[in-house]
Amino acid sequence: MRKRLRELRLLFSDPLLAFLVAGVFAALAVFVALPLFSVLLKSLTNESGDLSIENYARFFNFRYLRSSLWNSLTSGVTTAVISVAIGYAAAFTLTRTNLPYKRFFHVLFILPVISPPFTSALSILMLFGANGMITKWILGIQNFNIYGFKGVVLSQIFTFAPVAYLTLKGVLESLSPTLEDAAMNVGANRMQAFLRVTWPLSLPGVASAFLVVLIEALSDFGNPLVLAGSRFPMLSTQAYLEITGSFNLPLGAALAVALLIPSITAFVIQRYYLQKKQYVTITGKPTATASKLVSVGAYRALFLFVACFSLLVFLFYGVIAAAAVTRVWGYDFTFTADNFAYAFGVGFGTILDTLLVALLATPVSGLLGMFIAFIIVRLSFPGKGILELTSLLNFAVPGTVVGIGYILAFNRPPLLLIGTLAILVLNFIFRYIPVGIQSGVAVLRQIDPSIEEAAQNLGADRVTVFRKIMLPIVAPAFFSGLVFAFVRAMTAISAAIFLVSAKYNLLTVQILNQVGSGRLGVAAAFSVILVVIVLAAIWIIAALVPGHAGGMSAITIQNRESVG
Amino acid sequence: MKITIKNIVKEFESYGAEERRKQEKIFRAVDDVSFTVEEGELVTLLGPSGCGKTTLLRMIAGFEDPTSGDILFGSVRVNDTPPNLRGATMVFQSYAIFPHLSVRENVAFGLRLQKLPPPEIDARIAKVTALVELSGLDDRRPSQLSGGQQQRVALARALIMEPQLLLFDEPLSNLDAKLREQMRIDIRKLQQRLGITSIYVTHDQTEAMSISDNVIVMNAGRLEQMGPPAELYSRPVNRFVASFIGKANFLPDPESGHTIMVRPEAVKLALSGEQTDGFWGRVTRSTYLGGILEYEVETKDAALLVHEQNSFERPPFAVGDAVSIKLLPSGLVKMD
Ligand SMILES: Nc1ncnc2c1ncn2[C@@H]1O[C@H](COP(=O)(O)OP(=O)(O)O)[C@@H](O)[C@H]1O
Ligand SMILES: [Mg+2]
Repeated sequence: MRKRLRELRLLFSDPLLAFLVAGVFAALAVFVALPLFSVLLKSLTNESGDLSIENYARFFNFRYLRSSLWNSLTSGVTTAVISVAIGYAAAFTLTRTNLPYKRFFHVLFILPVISPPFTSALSILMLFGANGMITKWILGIQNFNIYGFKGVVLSQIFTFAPVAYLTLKGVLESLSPTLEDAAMNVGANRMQAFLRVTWPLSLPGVASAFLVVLIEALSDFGNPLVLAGSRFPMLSTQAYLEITGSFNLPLGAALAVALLIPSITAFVIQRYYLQKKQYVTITGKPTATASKLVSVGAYRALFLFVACFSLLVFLFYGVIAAAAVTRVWGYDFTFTADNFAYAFGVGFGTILDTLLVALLATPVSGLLGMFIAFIIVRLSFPGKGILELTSLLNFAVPGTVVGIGYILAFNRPPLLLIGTLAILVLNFIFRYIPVGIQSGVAVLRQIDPSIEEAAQNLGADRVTVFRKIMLPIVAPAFFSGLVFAFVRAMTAISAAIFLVSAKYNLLTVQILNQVGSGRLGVAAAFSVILVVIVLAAIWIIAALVPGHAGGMSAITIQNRESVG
Repeated sequence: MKITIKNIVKEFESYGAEERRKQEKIFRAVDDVSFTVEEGELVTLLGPSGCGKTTLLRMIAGFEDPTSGDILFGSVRVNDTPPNLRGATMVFQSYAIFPHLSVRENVAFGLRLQKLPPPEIDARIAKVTALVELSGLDDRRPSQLSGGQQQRVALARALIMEPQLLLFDEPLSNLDAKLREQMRIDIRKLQQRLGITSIYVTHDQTEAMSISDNVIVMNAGRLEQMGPPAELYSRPVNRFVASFIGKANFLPDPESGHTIMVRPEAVKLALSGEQTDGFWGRVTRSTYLGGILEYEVETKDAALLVHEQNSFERPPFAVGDAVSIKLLPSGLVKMD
């Protein structure tokens, strides 16, 4: 208690700083905690507004609802297992062999990370759907049904294997190949060296990647909405349909809570247990990667695998690009510019809105994240742990839950924000501060506190220290955080879909609408536009920011830091 | 086991910025090196950082394949033998201790792979941990060990295999100065007692001189000279060896046009009046190092470094003193 008081007094000795910290607390309470709390509360009321557990009772009694939990979990776990296997093989190939054109393959592998999360769903429809290029035109199957478990899992693997790849690449890079040399040096053959050294050492990372993909797959919204179909209900989409289709907010909220529980559990295990178990054995300069761990045969197999996956990426993106300039995919493959004309015609406002929201939200989110990182690393005050947890929570909370929380929390004065641009911007700001926080914390922890002390010693107050010393030092991390947050803001869907309005719409939502009404060509055209904007933004930032902070490496760095 | 290295060359696809600027696609890390190590000998590879020592050692261990040349263990060519079957164990610069295994399991790693009966493994662990003075740490995790202890684990893990050849890659470079000196004495004693043929890499000339039967001086991938420490110091074959091992003065020989190398200890000074007829100079620096006194003397056409045993018989020369200079004939080495 005494310590607390002393900390408080210290904080208030710098009034501006104290004011800012209080402001951060208030903002997080309103825009992170309040929506979550609203969802919880709503799920515990019945339709007439009284407290009850009716919704949960219904959840357990109705098979359809119960199976949505089961479906989400089984498809999530399947996706996670296969994604981790693919990610591990790819990461292993890039870190342990002399594969040529590594950078090219790397960029190709992470392309899905910068695309809207349902791009692959669209490709799958066009390749394997009832009129799919492969199923109908090449294999000649009539009315092939891609919907349900297999479609969702296939699409999610394509979407999330890159995430697993990025995580595991970081893990394998931090394990010195010298350890494998050492094992072989005392008599281990390749298999033994891998099974007794490489594998056990990467196991915490593998588990971590598994949980990260599981969290992402559980909260995934776009792929299920396109590919789940009516006979394979899943939690995130079911919650959405309950609210927008049946206007049953309480039940939707209860489904969201059901989704929240496994996500948060996975997050807590990943963050507070697995991260401490990870081995880092690289010290100093990275050693040569040429290792005898991989035999010629194994190398060929890995190369084949990498080549196949790359082809798949090409195929998936090629199909989208092709469909964007095709009259009617599946029936009439003649060239047309109509889709783009239509997209620009009806969707120009949407494109501008999307850019506006991303451009407004990203810098604010980045600055706020950096400031919170500074607070976390350099200050001590009561409630710091809570502040840190709250600000990171949005990593784990599925977008669906956040979206529902926002419409519940901000639908009446004084916080009447529904239908405004502000609610979209605010949602993105608070959804992506963890990105800034993570990279900020990582950088700040490496800065010797005596640098700050020196500045203070020369007469700078703490806000000046933050502005003049910390910001320049963390600038590279800040910019790579910006790139990542911008990409996420441009491609996000799950929360945003609850918050768009007739006045302010977003590209991702627009694409889903087009898919829903069967205009795959227009959806493809919108997707192409979106990916082009994202790539252009990445290149612009890369050109403006010297060093490796911008560009594609930002995606790599951010992903690594955000999932640890 | 006698080791023979014949005309070994190792080329890498260059990855350094320097080489890329020079547009060199191929970089020769080891350039036509040959030597032999006799049974029971300890030979040191000595040279500046980046001269190819590690690369050479890794080829002997089997982690890298030579571009050309032969490696013979005894009379057997081992170029195509995989690293796990060479019977040459290595102590790595970074120790490369398995972080997920206890000290005991680290040491036992190789024997477990051979599926030896547990009692025998236990006996050998006990023997080797006693040998490297590591007893009692069996169940510790590597992260709980000090640098010196990790070093001993790495040594024990290599020794327990009863190798034909022991390889060391700068094993002491991560230890502090005191410990480094102790460890190098311990390693040398152990190596002599067990009689294991050893190749030891270092960039520290004192370490090389104090531990080796023979020293190989390397520079930019090439072998410059091989010989016992005394020979390298007193009869270096070129400027590089002369200045890499100890300190050296280079003087032009007016008669032959060759360069003469003379060690600072082989230069004798005496106080002289101004303008003696012989070889003379003026002291420009005088440093009291304790056991020895170090001077810099400027002559008409050269600056000489001079070491004098501190005899306590007279005060050291002072800056500005004029001194006559004598070079001990036995300390003069002709270079080309
Ligand atoms: N795998 C590799 N690929 C390209 N160059 C390498 C590789 N390994 C080492 N080199 C280069 O070979 C040279 C010798 O390296 P090394 O044997 O590690 O030197 P030392 O151990 O003497 O310091 C260095 O210039 C290094 O950059
Ligand atoms: Mg080396």
